[in-house]
This record gives sequence, structure tokens and C-alpha cells, in this order.
Amino acid sequence: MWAYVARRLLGLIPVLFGISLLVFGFLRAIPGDPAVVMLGERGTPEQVEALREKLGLNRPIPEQYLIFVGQLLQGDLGRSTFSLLEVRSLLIAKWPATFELAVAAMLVAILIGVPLGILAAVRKNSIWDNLATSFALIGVSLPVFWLGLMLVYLFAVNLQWLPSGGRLSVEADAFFRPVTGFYVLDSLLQRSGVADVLSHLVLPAVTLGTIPLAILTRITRSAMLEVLSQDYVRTARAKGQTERVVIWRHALKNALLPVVTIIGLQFGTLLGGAILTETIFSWPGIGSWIYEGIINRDYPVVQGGVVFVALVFVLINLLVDLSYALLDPRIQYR
Amino acid sequence: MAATATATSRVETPTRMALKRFMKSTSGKIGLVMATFLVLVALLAPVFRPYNPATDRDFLNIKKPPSAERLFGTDNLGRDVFTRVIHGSRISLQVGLVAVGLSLTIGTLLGLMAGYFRGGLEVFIGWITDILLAFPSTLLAIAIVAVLGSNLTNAMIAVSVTQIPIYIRLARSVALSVRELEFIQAATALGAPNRRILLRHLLPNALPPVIVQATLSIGTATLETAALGFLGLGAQPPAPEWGAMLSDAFRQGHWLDAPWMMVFPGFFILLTVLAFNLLGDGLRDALDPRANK
Repeated sequence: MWAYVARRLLGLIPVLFGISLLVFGFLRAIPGDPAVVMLGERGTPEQVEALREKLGLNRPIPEQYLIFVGQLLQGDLGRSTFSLLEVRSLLIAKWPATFELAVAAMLVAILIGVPLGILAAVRKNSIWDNLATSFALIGVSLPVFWLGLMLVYLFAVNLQWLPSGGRLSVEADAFFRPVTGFYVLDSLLQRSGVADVLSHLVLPAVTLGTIPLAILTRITRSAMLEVLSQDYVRTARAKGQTERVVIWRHALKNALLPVVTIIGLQFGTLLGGAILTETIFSWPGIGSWIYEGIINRDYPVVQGGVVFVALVFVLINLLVDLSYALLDPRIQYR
Repeated sequence: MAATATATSRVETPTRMALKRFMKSTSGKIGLVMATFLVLVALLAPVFRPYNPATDRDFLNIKKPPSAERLFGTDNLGRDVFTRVIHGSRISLQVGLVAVGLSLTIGTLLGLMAGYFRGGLEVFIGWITDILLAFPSTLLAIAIVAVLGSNLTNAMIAVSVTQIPIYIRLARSVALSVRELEFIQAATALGAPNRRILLRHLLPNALPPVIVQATLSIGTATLETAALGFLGLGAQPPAPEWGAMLSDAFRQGHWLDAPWMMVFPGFFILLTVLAFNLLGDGLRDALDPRANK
């Protein structure tokens, strides 16, 4: 097992090297001189030249790359050319928002998708099955940004049941002291504003969670169908086990492996793909931050954000692979 | 004698078998009808509603709600949303087909080469695949557009790059299993050049899964391109691209007092993606029966 973990970690090195090459290449290829962007229109040619010198933009490209990687390895992501703040501290400040949203979205997806998939499989070809399958099909075909706007229009603008964006209402913000950056946790610790925080989370979480919800429903259904047709399930039924025990105790456990894979993979996609949802709900997370970075030509922000997201994505995929060992002892790691 | 004659005339060719399986698939049939409808809308839009996005404006009829006369209402410049939406289907279908065509061609060729030649080339192509897959696809597409510049063509290129790895993996796995079969060995022994083996012998075997994937990818490509348009990184106004129309409605707040500006373009994105997803499901039942259930 540990040898397998070590080998997988070693295998990450070429991928990480590739990611760094790609990100570096992207940033050098983006049209526009960062020094000119930083100084704005009032910068004199001398100032631009001095700044280029300071940023190391005058050095040969391979040397620039080595400097970039060196800084990356030390966790130095530079400063935002727009706000002049350190990218690393911005990243630390922003990621809890994205993480919290992704967890909430995943909870929506798991809590609805898995039971729905089980129901569809157990009652195959019933009206429930048809409803669940159609719902899953529409879910994967939905444009997330449109769904978000529709939900806001219905629940925030028309019915006014839920807030339309942000993480807190203005009134609550005055008393709120973020400690961890995870507002649900913070509000529980302070015993205030819990309802406010949760109500802000509902619409973005449902929006972001719809696609994984649809995918999970589909995967759970097909995994359950596969397991339910196995001999040992028939044996369990023949023994006279109740249907409930057969489904929950015997079938579900073995159907979970593909479900867990998808949960892991989707979670990675959520962290990175939250850009659209965050933009619609003015959610101050990494997605909307990277997007603003691109609009403002804030290269260090884009660079730091993209590297971070790719890193998390790769690590989550690794964790998914490793979690197989826990769920399925038959898998041998050699 | 007569019985044998009828029997031989009903030989089950692979195509006919696939067609039979396709017609048994409900989702396939619904998808086919929907996709045909969308293609017809796209083809006939200029006939029914000639349209020039740059000049079509009617300031006397701004943000009029849907009515019998203007089915989908009018937008903030008095433009007829229905006309713009049906013309948008021309853009979306084109984008979907071109983007998928690009990634399919490049990805399949690279994948076949990786699986057939093996060695250093396979390692290298595998490395590229891993790197591309290390980024969530929306993020990668945004990064590519940031480099190339925001317009529809570049959005299309960006979306197709994000889809290349899928085809590499598919084609490679086919090439890996087929290259060991006798008919490839026979072709090699006869002195067939590599190009011939790749294109004549390996490619046809890779086509069924690739076609299924391509149909499903048209949906994804439509979705991703619209997303880029929505972020202002794809098609630019006044082009009647659905994502850009949604962006117009959202960014300037028009969707709050004229929700039809937002409802209809998004609904057509959903219809298009759904159509190709259903069609892809049907094609999988037909071409790749083992893959399903």
C-alpha cells in the first residue's frame, strides 16, 4: 500500500512539471506587457523599463521559468498587479468560500442523488425510475449559469424567500467575525447568523450541485442494477432476508465503489468549475477571483489561482484512487 | 426454396443491426427528432426571418413581453428575441460541429499513434493528456481564450482543446487491443506502411466509440462555448449567440425587468445539449451495445 502511495506521488512530478510549463507558457503568451499594465497609462518608458528589470522580464525565457518555479516551490506566488496584495494571502483568504460552496453543493448532490439512484434501480422501469432517469438527463444538459439565473429570478426576485447573492446580508456582516473563513463553521462558533449564512448558501449550492446530482443519480442507478443482478443478492433473498436488508446491507455497500469515484472526481471539478456559479452569485471565492484576474490582466493572480486549482484537482484524483483500497480490499497495490 | 430466398435477402448486416438497436432506444429516437428539429430551425432561420444582427433595432419597442406578434418578446434594444434565438442555433450548431470535429481528428490520431507505436511517443502523448486533464475544463478553456483573445473562433478552439484528451484515451485503448490481433500482424507481414495500418485498419475499429463520444461532446461543446460567451470571453455582441445574449441580459440587469431575455436563450441551450445527449445515448445502444448496462 505505502509503496503504491509513494509511486503515485512520484508519478505526479512530471504532471506538476507540465502544469508549471503550461501556466508559465500561457502567461508569457498573453498579449500585453505586465509592466505596462501595472503602471497604467501614465507610466513613462523609463519607468516601464525599470519595472521590467525589477520583475525580471528582461531575462532570457528559460531563466524566467527557473525563477518562476523556484518561487513556486517556496510558496511565493508574487503580488497581485491590481491590488498589490500578496497572491498567497489572497488565496488563503479566498479558498474557504469556494471550498464551503463546493462541499455544500456536493452534499446536495449526494443527499438527493444517491437515494434517487437507489430508488430508480430498486423500482426499475417504474414511474420513479423514469422520473429519476429523465431528471438525470436534463440535469447534465443544463447550462449552470442559466439555472442559477432562473433560481435567483424565482426564489430571490419574485418570491423573495432567499437572498440573491453574497455570503452574508449587510446587517449580519456588521457583527460577523470570520475566524476560519468557513462561514457556516464561524457562525456556529459564534452562535449567531447561522440562518443568515445558510440561507445565502442554498441557491449557489443547488446551482453548483445540479450537474453532480444528475451524474450521481445515473451512476448510483447503474451500479445498483449491476449489483442487484448478482448471485449473492439472490442468495440473500433466498435466505429470506427482508428486501430492506438486501438493499441496504448487501447491495449498497458493493455499489458504492463507482459512486465514490464519481463523488471524488466531481468534487475536483466543482472546485475549479465554480467560476460561473460564483460570478452569478457574487460569491467571493477562487473562481470569481481568477475570472477578475483575467479581466484585469492580473497575471500573478491568474497564475496562482490556476496552479492552486490544478494542484487540488490532481491531489483529489489521487485520493480517490487511494480510497479504493479502503472500500474494496480485493484491489491489490503492487 | 422460396423460404431460403427470403432468408438470404434479410441478411443482418452490421449496419442494419445497429439501425435496429437504435430504433429500439427511446432516448435515441427522441434525440434524433430534437436534433433534426434544431438543424431545421438553423437551416430555415434566414428564410423565415432574414436578420442582420448589426442593424436590427427598434427603439419604439424596447423590452416588450412575449406576445402573439413577438413570441419571445423584445430586448433592451427592441430586437426580437425569437429571431435572435433561432439565428443563435446556427452559431451553436456550427460551433458544436467544428469544435468536436477538431478535437476528434487530433485526439483520435494522437491516440491511435500512441497505442500503435508505443514507446517514447506513447509516454509523451500520455504526459500531454495528463497535463490537459489536470485542469478543470472550464478553467482550461478560459486560460486558452485569455491567451488567444476573446472571440467566437478562439472560444471554439479552446473548447476543442479541452476535449482532445477524451479522444486520445479512447483511440489509444482501441489501438492497444487491436494491434495484437492477427490481421494487423498479417498487414505488417505483407509490408503495409504504418500510415496504412493506422488509417485503414486501426481507425475503423476506433470509430464506433469515437462517434458515440463525439455526439455526446457536441452537447458539452455547446455548453462550454455558451459559458465562455456568458463570461464575455466567447462570441461578442451583437452576435446572437445564446451565451452572449444571456451575458447581455445578466450584466446590465435587464433580466430583472425583462426575464424573457434570459429565459429563452438558456432554454435553447438546454434543448440543444439535451438533444445531442439523447442522440448519443441512442447511438451507444446501437454501436457499442456492450458498453451499456
